[in-house]
Amino acid sequence: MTVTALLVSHDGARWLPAVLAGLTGQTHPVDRFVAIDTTSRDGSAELVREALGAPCATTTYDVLPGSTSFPAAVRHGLDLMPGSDPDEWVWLLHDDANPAPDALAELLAAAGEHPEAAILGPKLREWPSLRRLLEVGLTITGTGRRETGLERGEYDQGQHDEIREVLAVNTAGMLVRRRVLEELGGLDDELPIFGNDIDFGWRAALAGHPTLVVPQAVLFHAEAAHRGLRRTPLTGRHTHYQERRAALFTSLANVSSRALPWQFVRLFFGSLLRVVGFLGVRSVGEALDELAAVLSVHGRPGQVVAARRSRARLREGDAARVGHLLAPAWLPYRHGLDAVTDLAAAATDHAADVAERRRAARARAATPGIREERRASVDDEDDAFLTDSGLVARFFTNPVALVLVLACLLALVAGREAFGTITGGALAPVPEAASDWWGLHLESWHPLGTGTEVPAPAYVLPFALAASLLLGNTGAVISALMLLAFPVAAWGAWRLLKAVGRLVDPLGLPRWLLVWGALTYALVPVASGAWAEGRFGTVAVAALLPWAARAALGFVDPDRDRRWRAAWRTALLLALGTAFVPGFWLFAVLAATVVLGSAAFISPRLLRDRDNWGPPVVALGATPLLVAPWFVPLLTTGSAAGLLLESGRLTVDRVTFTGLLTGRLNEVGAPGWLGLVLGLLAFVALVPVRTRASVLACWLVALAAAVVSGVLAHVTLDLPAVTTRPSLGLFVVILQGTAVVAVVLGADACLRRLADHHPLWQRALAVTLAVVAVVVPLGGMLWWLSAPDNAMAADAGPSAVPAYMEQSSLLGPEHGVLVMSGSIDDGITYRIRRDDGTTLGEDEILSLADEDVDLTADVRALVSSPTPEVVAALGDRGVEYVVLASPADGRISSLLDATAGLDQASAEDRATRAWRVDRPLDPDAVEGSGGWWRTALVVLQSLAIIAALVLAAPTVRERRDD
Amino acid sequence: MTDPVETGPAGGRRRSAATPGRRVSPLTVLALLIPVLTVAALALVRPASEPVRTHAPTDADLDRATAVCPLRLPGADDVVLGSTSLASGDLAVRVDGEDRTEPLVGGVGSLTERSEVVVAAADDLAPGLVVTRAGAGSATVCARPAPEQWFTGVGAAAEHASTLTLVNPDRGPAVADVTVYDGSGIVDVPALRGVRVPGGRSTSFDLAGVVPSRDALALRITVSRGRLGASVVDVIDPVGRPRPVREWLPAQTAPSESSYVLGVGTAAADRVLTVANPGDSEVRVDLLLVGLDSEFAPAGVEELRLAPESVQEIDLGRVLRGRGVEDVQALRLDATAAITATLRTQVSDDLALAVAGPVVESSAGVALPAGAKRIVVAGARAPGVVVLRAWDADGEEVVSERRVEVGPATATRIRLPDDAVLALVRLGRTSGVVSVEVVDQGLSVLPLEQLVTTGRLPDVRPAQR
Repeated sequence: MTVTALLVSHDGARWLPAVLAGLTGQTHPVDRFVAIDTTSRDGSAELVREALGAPCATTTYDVLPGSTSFPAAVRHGLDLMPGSDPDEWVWLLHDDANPAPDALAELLAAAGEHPEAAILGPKLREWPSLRRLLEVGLTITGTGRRETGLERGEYDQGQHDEIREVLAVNTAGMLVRRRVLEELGGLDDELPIFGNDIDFGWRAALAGHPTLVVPQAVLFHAEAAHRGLRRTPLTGRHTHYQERRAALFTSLANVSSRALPWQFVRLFFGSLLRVVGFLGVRSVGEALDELAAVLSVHGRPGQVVAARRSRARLREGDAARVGHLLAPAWLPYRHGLDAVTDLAAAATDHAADVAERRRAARARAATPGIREERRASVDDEDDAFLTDSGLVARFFTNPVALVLVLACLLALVAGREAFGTITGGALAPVPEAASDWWGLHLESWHPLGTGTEVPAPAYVLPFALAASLLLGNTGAVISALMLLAFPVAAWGAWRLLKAVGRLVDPLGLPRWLLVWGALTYALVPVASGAWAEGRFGTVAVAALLPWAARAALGFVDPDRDRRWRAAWRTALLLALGTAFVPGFWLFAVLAATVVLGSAAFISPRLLRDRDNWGPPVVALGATPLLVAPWFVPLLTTGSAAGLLLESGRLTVDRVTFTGLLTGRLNEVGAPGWLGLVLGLLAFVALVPVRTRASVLACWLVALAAAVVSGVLAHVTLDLPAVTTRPSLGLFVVILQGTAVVAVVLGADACLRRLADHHPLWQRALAVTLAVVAVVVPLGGMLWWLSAPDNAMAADAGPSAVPAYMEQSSLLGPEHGVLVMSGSIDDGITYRIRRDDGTTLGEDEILSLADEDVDLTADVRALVSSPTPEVVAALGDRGVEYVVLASPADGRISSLLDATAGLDQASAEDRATRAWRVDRPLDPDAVEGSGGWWRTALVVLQSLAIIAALVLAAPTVRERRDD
Repeated sequence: MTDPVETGPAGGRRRSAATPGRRVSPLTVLALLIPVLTVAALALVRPASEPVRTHAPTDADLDRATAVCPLRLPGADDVVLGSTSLASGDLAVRVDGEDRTEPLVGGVGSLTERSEVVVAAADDLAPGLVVTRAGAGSATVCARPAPEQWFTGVGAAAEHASTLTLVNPDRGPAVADVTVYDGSGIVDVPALRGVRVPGGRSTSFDLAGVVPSRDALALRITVSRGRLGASVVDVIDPVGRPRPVREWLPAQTAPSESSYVLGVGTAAADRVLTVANPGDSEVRVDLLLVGLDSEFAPAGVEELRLAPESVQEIDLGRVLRGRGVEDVQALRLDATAAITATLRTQVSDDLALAVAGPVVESSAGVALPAGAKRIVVAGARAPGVVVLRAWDADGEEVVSERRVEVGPATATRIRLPDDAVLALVRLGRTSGVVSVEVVDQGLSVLPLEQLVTTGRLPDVRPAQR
């Protein structure tokens, strides 16, 4: 038996001395030694030459051009040392792979025990850490991923120490029978650096030569090429390209013919998906590498065919035997899940703690050179249950978690009404399918009423997305919104209060204070009566407000990159909130103007840096872009009044002075004194001196909201159907939110003060205030639980339109129903019902659409002096039926009865009257075309959303490589 | 954005530490000022104004009017046409399904026709269209189709029988429900429920055949589909009289709590008052007589009590006979709830039917049949003036702005020239009930309605949802 060691080196001077020492220090010395250098520029060749001494029969050495691939180098080495012994073994070594002294001995011992084995490989451990496992045998997954079966950074504790058959082993330390190596044609030249080991093992396995991993033999590997520590002319700058290309090629060249077509398609689309994924985490270079790799392999099928043909000649034995050596089919999905989890964790963590980073930045600035010392935060435990998934036991012993979960469960019970179909108040019935919402979003012209160009509200897009995700269940979208508003608001408030608390108090806020704040805030949309009135816009914006505020805190992050990411995150949240309540954006613009203006006044130096003022400006500027298909046409169609309204069916805003003080939008909210308590507590919060400035900042926001409310209350919006004033729901939420923050900050100062010893009366006062404060969320929740069930359904009266007309109107947009109600004395109101009636998302369009003056004139003629011409005009407008809603005015109905062209039709009840228009309906009655530019805006919006998502995403790649 | 928050605490501490004295720090001032300003700003929010849900109609010139004349009674073939607008033009007339036009010159015209006549006026002629069918001691105002009409005191027996006729002036079908009240309540008459009258046709019901009853009856006709002109012919055929007497029974548009029945007449006659209570509670009715000088309660008449949904007849023959009642022109009925009433005046060869008339707010017009005529005004709300104008068949004004003072609690009688065919009565500073008594081979009473010269244009606007 002869063992020939074959070392290939390239720029490996960093590691070579140790490698050569390891080689010479083997307990079982090698018989012959060949070293090949591919024109190193760092003196590697000299190192090897010195170690070997003059060439002789057992040692030889050569230098090849730098572009020589690893397979070619190996082949050349073997040629230099021709085979003599039929039982000759070749031991392949890399210049960055240092074998343990007994590595060769263990490999040979295993070869002795398993005479059938043709290839043996050692256990690879990380160099220089020496303890972490790199590889204990290799295989490949269906997606071409190199699979080691190890966890990332797994420590070697002997857990994999058994000799077993594997698909392949790394060429670093691979001990292979020379006969087999030559039979199989050596390593594949198509795979110059990466992946040739798997390919070789796979080919050997197909040819009936088993590969064994011998964990008792240990090799320390620096993976210089893979980590990009070493660049060769072959890898260039694009390591990822080489790796993926090798993976794709190996997979396609070796997979069984039966599985080839599927594998071909799968790898192609899988790679495209990976391209998107890389773009999603802003790894543009890797995305391009990936794309280049897939084009290189899939674009040249001849290459694959040739490789398959040459492999087919050597194939013998049972191909199925190889199957069990490949990675299980589910493995790629697990990796995918891991990747998503990583991303999600990064996304939720990356805003971790502005306050801490600011403090650290200040500390660094004060004492340069001292590394940031990450405090092992006690408070991290606070939301450990929110971020840490596997701690069931900890959850059940955490009273805070239990209280929060209990509150959320109670909220589900209290809001049980929303489990079914909910309509009424601001909530119109939902459309039949998600496609209706998609259509509404994409169309530039809506066949509603007499047709209008007024754009669909911006929230239709998220609704359409959500409905598609919920398999077209449109009702579930509303149910989810109304039911999840509470937990989402509570969670957001928790995180916001925590972040604000840290900014104000380095120790952070006491947990129970956070619980109180989160629950009190989460109850605001309910207690205000927005929930019961079905004002889903206010409910949604209440849930989003703390998240947006928290994202905006990122503007003061010391890290420039984080500030910009905060900008995009804020823009996304702001846009989502604006989709529901446009005033959200307007108020943010106002607030930003005030803050930036005062900053310019106080510290002009601060605003000289683009990275300081840029992020908030970008966040505010990007918001209209993110809702462009709604925002721009709203202005061009003269419907700007929509910017001051909230989403949903128009509910005339009835907020009063007391309502704003107590946080009540209407009469269906919780008792007003509960809200008044909060306001008074916010005032008391100004007492502690320590947090007075911060609390005052909250009051400043409240003042801004109050001033805007005061101004808006005097604005009158003259819509075609109704005159109303701007919606003030948002300001109720903002006022209540700032009150909660103020109370929490004030209470924190109070509690810190009491931590030192203080007179009894102060403690008694604090306890009293605490009891009073607890009453707010507790009372609110109890009120909600006991509130009557059908508050929302109260005014969802039965339809005036008979069922057969509803059926008929589904036939096409021209089968409209003109519904008139009222009487001559009180005035007549009319609307044209088309398709499935006015569904969620269409109310806003109809409210803002300009009055069709001609139609109004026609209707006036119809109810005062109808003529056949008027009836014919109705047919031209796509009106098939005319309904005079109950109680029908007899004077009008007798007029219509007497009119030629109107046939009496049956109605639901005797008090309702109906006629059929016996005139041809114009199929193009409500046809129209909006501008092409709205379609362009939809495309622009999609691109803006994707860009914002990518720009807001955390930088995952960096973290991994750290 | 949160820079104030960030730098705040430090500043706060610094300031409070730097002011050991009693000097109030600016922060404290702000802590008081900002909440006060906040509340003050919120106080600017006024409660939203109550959204206006009703919008009053506007008036516009009436541009179409329809009158439906019933089938003739023996001798009553004349149809007198008039328009108080005094305009000239063509009226659309439909007789037996045939359309033709009739000229109106200076606001007056006439035709002779035995069948039902539907008169339609458009544009200039529509305001103040008045049509009367008369002749041989009978006369009736051709009514505008109305959604609800009341006929009180109809009979369904051999000696007192009535015929109800429903005429559909339009092309589409019309549907009406006829509710019949008798002395004890509502009578269920399937044949009169959901009566469907095809377009341009008429339907008649002989009540004696449909709902035979010896009680006095009242009918309520509710039109639920289309338009219908309703008329009732009352026939009295007492045993032992040579021939029956006939007259049209005027319709009443709605029951009322305070009613004036004008047209008592002066001759000695049998007079029967029929009162109907359509409500669901008992009604007490006080009867007063309205003379030219005063109103007074007749001796010997007790307060009338009407059971719910019932009809009752009171013989007023004795009450309206004798001294002190010669100048009685009207009956006043004060009821505790809305009622309808008809006074039947019967002499041997004539029958006159007077009903509780509608209140005329400002003006009333009437096309006058031949014969002696006078206008009676009663129930004036306040002292006021009646201005009377009348024209003859040539369109010449025969009464020009005759002004007569009227007052409450009295009745006023104004004679009209015999050749007058069109009269216009305007009430100044008051409202009242106006009738025309026509004596031409017998007495007929025509109650006058408020003249409709304007249509009401409803406010039309898009619905909020």
